[in-house]
Amino acid sequence: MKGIVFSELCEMVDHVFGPDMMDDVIDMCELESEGAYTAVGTYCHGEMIQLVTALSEKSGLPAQDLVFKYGEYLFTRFYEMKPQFFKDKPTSFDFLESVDGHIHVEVKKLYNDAELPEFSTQRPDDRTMIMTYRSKRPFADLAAGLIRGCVDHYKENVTIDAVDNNEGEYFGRIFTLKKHVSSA
Amino acid sequence: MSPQPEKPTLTSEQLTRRLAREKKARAQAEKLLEEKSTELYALNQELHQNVRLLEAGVINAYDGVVITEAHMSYHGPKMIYMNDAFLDITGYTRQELMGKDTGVLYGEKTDIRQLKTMRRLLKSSQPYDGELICYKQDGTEFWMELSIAPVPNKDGEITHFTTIARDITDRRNYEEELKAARLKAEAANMAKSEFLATMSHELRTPMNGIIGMTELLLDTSITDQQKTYAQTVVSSAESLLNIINDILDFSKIESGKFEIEPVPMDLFKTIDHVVALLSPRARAKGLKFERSIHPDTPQYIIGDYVRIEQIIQNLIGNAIKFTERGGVALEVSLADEPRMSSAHIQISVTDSGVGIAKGVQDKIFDKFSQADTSTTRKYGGTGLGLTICQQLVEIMGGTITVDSTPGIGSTFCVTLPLKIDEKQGELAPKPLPTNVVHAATPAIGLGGGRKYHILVVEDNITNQMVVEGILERLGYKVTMASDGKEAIKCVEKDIYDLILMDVQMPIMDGFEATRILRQMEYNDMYHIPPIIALTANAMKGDKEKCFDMGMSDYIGKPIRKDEIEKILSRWTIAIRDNHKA
Repeated sequence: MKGIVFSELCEMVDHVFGPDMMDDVIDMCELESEGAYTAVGTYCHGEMIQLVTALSEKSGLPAQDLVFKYGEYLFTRFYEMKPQFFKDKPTSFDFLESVDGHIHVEVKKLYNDAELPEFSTQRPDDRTMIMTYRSKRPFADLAAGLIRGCVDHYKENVTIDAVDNNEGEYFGRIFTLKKHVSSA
Repeated sequence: MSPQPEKPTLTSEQLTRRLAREKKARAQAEKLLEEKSTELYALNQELHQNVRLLEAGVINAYDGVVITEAHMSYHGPKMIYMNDAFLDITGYTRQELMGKDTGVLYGEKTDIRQLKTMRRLLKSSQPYDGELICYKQDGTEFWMELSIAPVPNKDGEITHFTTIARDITDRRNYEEELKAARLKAEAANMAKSEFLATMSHELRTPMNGIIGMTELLLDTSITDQQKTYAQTVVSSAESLLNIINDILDFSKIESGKFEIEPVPMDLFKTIDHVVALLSPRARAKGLKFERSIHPDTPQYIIGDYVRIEQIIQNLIGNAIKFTERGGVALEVSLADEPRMSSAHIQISVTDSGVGIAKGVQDKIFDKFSQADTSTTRKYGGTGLGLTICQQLVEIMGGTITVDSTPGIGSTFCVTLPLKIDEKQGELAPKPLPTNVVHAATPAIGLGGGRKYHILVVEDNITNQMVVEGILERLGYKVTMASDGKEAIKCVEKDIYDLILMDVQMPIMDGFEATRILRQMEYNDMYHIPPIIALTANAMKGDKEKCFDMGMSDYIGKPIRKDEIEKILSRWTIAIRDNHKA
């Protein structure tokens, strides 16, 4: 798993829970990296699971919610760090469609060892998009948070339904995004 | 889960731990950076090696290679790669060219149209190959050969152009020199042919005087010895005339001014004409002369009878010339079954003469060449006859071959593709009376016993004398006019039975005079007699032009007493019949 996912998590924990929390969480885990993360490094995804589990335990919040919130946070950070990926993407659907074919291609150029999840998309009609998450790592919740973050970034009235779709060693989730004509 | 409102404060212990973690992370990042750099360096090395191999192995080491972006500014696309060879060719450094558009290489003499073509092709993703004047860093111009190919990405979109460039200045200079040399040689050859044509033409005019005057001399009371001398002058002049005709034909062929004019013709009549012409010569040498026409041979064909007759005459003439014993045989037949009214007609001339050695058989068609140089001394001739024959045959799309055994004889075989004339017998426009009447009695009385009155329009004094002499000897009454204008004045004042009209004259030429006379006739103002052209113009088509201009017949110069007598008697009979009717 790419270091940026870890370093951004540390940033968020510091920001949301205060500096003690992150130190405690690191102390509770047995981390090969000893909690020292650099954005350009690569770390075992097990460390992320340990960190999230410890954070849940320490904060009393469900791990699933924590990961979802982190996903939303990560998306805002992503927009801050890589605004170039948002060029010519007027809607959330346009952006989400470009993840697999464009953003992940760029990531691969820099880190050819990166194991990236797959995000296939379909648009059955103008207002609907089906996005399928597929990965060997159990981070569908992170994907859910990222998608929500994206929709919120575009300030669109979109509802997201999700159904798990695990297959063998792959974790999967099918997200159905429905755009509503803003009546609100 | 709302963020803490206050900025968190860290204890020194916490700070120490964080610092330790950050140090570790930095060390990791630096290690990764180093690894990445090493990896990049290695890849870069490999890439360079591959490019070197590509340049050295696939592309000629002396060929320049340039890669440009696909986007084109007004001055061309931007260069993003160039090899050392390209720098050697252009004299620029890499820094000077990198990132610049290709326009820096062009200048004043660079062909704008070529650049436009290049631009158009490249814009439509097509390759361009061409040669352009380009400029080196120091301003020296040079010829560059360019081969530009578009490079598409995996979606088929053109992202770059690759160019192979070559300095071809030396080759261009060499080509220019060759071209200049070739043009010079062609011009010289053309000038030579034109000189020959002009000279031959000029030579024919004085021949009028020589032959004409000598013939007149022969009709005066002279001694037998003088007669023999005069006859020798005539036959020598005739030989000279033949040579001049050969050279004229040859130079016309050489300068590309020769044209074949196929018209409906009677093949048998043409053959008989040649036979009649040459059999006396064979008889004089004691040779047998046989002529056979295969029954399948079509009589009426479409062809250039003048040239076909010339070919046959030349071959038979040669056969008689080179044969001392035995004979000469002319055989005409079909070479294959006629198809779509086209047929190959074969004309072969066999003799029992000296023959030609195998080694020189293919040389005899070369110009100025006879089987060996002693031939010229022994038999005379220009050595152009067979060359002309071969050229004529080839212009008509046929072939000529020779089969010969020294001491036994030779067979020359001509095969010509000719159209069969379906409308049998309807020959070329024939303004002439069809019956050839020989040697009409001179000065046939007309009604009241008056002599035929002939107006001769001729500017050359010698020719005037010759024609006047011949006509008066034949019993005609002659009036002379020196040009077309004078001729018209004569016609306005007097009545003539015939007009002999020179073509080339000062003040008003024969064509113009004829046109005006015919106009006068059309307006019913005057009686205009038949007009017979009298000209040294031997160019093909002149005869037709004479007819087109309203002339009725044609007498070629030099004027021969026999010919003039023959043609005039033909016309005087026609006039007499007309008067009777």
